Amino acid sequence: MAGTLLLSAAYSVLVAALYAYIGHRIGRRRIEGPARMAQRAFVAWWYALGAGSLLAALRIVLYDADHLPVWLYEAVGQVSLLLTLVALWGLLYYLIYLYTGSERVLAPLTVFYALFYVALLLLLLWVGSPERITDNGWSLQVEPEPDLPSIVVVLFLVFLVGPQIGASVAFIRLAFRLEGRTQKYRAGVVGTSILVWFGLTLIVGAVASALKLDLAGNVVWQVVSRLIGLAAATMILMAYLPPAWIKRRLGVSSIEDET
Amino acid sequence: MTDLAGGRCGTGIPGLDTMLTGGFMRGDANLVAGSPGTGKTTLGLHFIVAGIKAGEPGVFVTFEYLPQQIYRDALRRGWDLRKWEEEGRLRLLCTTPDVLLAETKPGRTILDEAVEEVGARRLVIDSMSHFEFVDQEEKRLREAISGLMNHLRLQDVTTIVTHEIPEIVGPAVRISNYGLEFLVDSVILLRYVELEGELQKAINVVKFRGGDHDRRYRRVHLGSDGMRIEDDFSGVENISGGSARRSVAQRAKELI
Repeated sequence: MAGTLLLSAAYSVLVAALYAYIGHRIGRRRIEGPARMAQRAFVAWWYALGAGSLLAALRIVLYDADHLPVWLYEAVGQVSLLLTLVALWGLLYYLIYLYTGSERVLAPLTVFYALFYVALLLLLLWVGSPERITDNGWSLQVEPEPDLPSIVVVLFLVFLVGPQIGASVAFIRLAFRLEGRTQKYRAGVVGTSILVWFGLTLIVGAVASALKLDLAGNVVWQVVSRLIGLAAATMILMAYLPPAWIKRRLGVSSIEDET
Repeated sequence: MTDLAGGRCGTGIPGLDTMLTGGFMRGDANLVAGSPGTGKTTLGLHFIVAGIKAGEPGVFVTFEYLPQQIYRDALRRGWDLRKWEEEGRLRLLCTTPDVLLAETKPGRTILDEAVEEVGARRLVIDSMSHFEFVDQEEKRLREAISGLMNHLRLQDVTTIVTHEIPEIVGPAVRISNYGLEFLVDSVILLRYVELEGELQKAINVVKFRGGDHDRRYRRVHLGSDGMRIEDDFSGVENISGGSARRSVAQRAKELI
């Protein structure tokens, strides 16, 4: 396995472990009543992100072991897509409930993401299977690359990245609205981390596309983007489990103190 | 303790007296409006009983119940109205709005006679909603009710009138068709609040002429001992809309 590809897989495993741990800690909080479903949805967001990251690592390992036929690559991709949508569903429901206190959005949101998943599967069917799987040293890619209409790409981005950007802004807004130090701190750190992570990725991607730069083969970007992702995940972990010096300095508590 | 301050008239419900910073203003006309079953009649009975126990006779006018029903329900709470009636400390009038407004002698109604008979200082009319069925146009009805309220004020009788709000939950746009809420000195609202799948009773002092008052919604408990005012709905928003929910800050405490 190429060193950089191994690094990518290790990064994915590490990030998956961080997400899963955050989800586990949040899930251990004792919450009763209608807020319970929102808590579960938020836990689903972290677990689904973790599982998606783990699958990315698994795909690289299988590729390196020469055990990744096209059909398996596609199958893992479909499961990853499902996990992404589950994560987005969880995050959105959690935030909508937090803001409105209404549970009514649960059913329509679930139906929407179920239909969205079916639409994406149909799109994949329409695009057709790739001929082979290769790598660019950092991640896997397929040949020939699917030639999607630009409107489809835009819609894809709007529905897959948009909610996360919106959610991060919603978190940051909450940080200004809430009164408790711990809630302000957590909402601020989680919101900023997600915004920097996904927002920067989106902006750099858009700029690169406009300038026709090959980001996939750019070593600096590959390293920097992973460092950003790792830093964001670590920050989110510290939002819920702040080290003692942050607890002392900011007067905030850890999720451990609440479970 | 019923009379908590000079010029004030205790309601018999300690929590409500606190909300009113000492009770109703003596001689005022007060409206208790609420959805069915929220405790309007019970509140009225508390008020009358508190007066009797403090040496202030009362008159309870009902358009809805038979005297036997009132005696029975009050006795369950330990209030022997029949005995107090026999002792001349209470008059229970079971009548209709038309009869109440009709004069038995020039300038005197059946209500005047009852007030005079026991020397009443407190009066409850349950419920003014029935006046809406009186065959009078709104303007004339409003004048008649306004006249009645002023007449009672002049007699130094502290009055509670009740009025139904038909909506069980949801925002109440107005209380009566003839603007009863504008003719009285204070307005107390009893509502159902839907909170997390449960209907809870809430009380709020909407208007209190001439005095400061608690502006918060508070929980109401109706039990065998009558009405009890409990804690406020802190951390809950949209109570007046009927479909209350906990505030963002409250939810964030649990979820963030």
